[in-house]
Amino acid sequence: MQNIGGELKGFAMSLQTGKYNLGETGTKLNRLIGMGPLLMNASQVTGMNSSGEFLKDEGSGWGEYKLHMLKVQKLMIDAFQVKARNKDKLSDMSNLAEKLGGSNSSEND
Amino acid sequence: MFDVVADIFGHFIDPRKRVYVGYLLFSVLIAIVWLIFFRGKSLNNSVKILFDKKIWLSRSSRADFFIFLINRCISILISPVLITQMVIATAIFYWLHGITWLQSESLQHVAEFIIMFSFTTFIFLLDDFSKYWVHRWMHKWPVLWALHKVHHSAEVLTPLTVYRTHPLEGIVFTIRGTFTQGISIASFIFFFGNSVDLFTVLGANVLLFLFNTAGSNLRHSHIGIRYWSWLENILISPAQHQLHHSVDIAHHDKNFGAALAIWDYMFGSLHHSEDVESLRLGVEEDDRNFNKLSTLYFSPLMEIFYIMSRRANTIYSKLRSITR
Repeated sequence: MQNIGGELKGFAMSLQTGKYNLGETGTKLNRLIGMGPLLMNASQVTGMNSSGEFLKDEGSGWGEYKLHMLKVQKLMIDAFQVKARNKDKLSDMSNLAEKLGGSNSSEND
Repeated sequence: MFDVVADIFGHFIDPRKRVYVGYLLFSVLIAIVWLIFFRGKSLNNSVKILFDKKIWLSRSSRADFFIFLINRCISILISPVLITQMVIATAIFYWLHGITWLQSESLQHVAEFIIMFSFTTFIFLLDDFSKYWVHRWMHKWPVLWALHKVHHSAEVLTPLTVYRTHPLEGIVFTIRGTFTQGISIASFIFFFGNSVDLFTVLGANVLLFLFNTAGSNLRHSHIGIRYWSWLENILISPAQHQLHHSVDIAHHDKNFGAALAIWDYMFGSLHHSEDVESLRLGVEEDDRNFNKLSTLYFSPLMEIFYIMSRRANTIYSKLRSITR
């Protein structure tokens, strides 16, 4: 889990060091991913001190972290039109919504 | 233009819509069987009764037809700006993740069949329950009644009467459906993960498919099929819904249910069916000509304006008397 979170941070940073200025998308990515992954003991790197050492503190909680990961998925789709989507939670909802056939209805009972 | 035509014909070939051709054919079959075996009519006579020109070519039916066409055009313009169920579902999904004592996908190990059965049933029940309450409020709140009166102004009933709806009322129904679907989708996917699915027949929720195949289109018809008394406590029969359209004051504000009568039973608005040949339909207290399209579309807006003006005057008078 820590490896995956670390890779995600690395991936986000590499996007921001590319030739395009991500602007608001970069800021949102940083806020959602944080400085590092949420660890198994619910701690997380929250900053850096003046000596350049990472500071660790209690993280946001697993529920909130999962929510942030969902929002990262959505941001990647909205900003970069990502096509290959493994375990896209929001697409599960979208597929189900499509199956229900839309809520637009003027059937009057 | 092509979109409008596709949307119109789409209603007749989409099994998720009430007037899907298959459901209409089943309704014809059920009506003919009922007329022959329960009313003792011959096949010829049954067909003549069912396709009575006085019903199908009446001014009221012609108005239903034109409203259906015009509303399809309006719907294509308005739909893109209305809130969608995905917006609601996403917001609720995010909100559920923010609740610390709830664990996402905590029930994902439940058998897939049970998940699908639960979702199919839940969304059907929530949809029907919300339809009951919105319909009830349509009759109780003057502003909503001004809009819903358009539907009740029908003097004869045909399957197209289900679309005799003011566009603003259609927006209310759409918002209802949006919240129902959004809540259902978000909560189930949060707890059960990606195993959530719907039992369908021809792409429609199986329970809706059963409701529609069992003659839902006869609710808006002149064929007064009645169920046994005990069954009318559970399911709304065609005759019960026709009674809902009656001008008789004893039938006012009864049988608000869409598919299920249990909500009417629980909340005191149930009325068992009566002999529908004696029913007069329409809106008696109103002498406007509701078969004119201009009346159907514009007079509810005028009525709402007068209601809001009277309310504003009342509030203003009360404030003045307090401050004196």
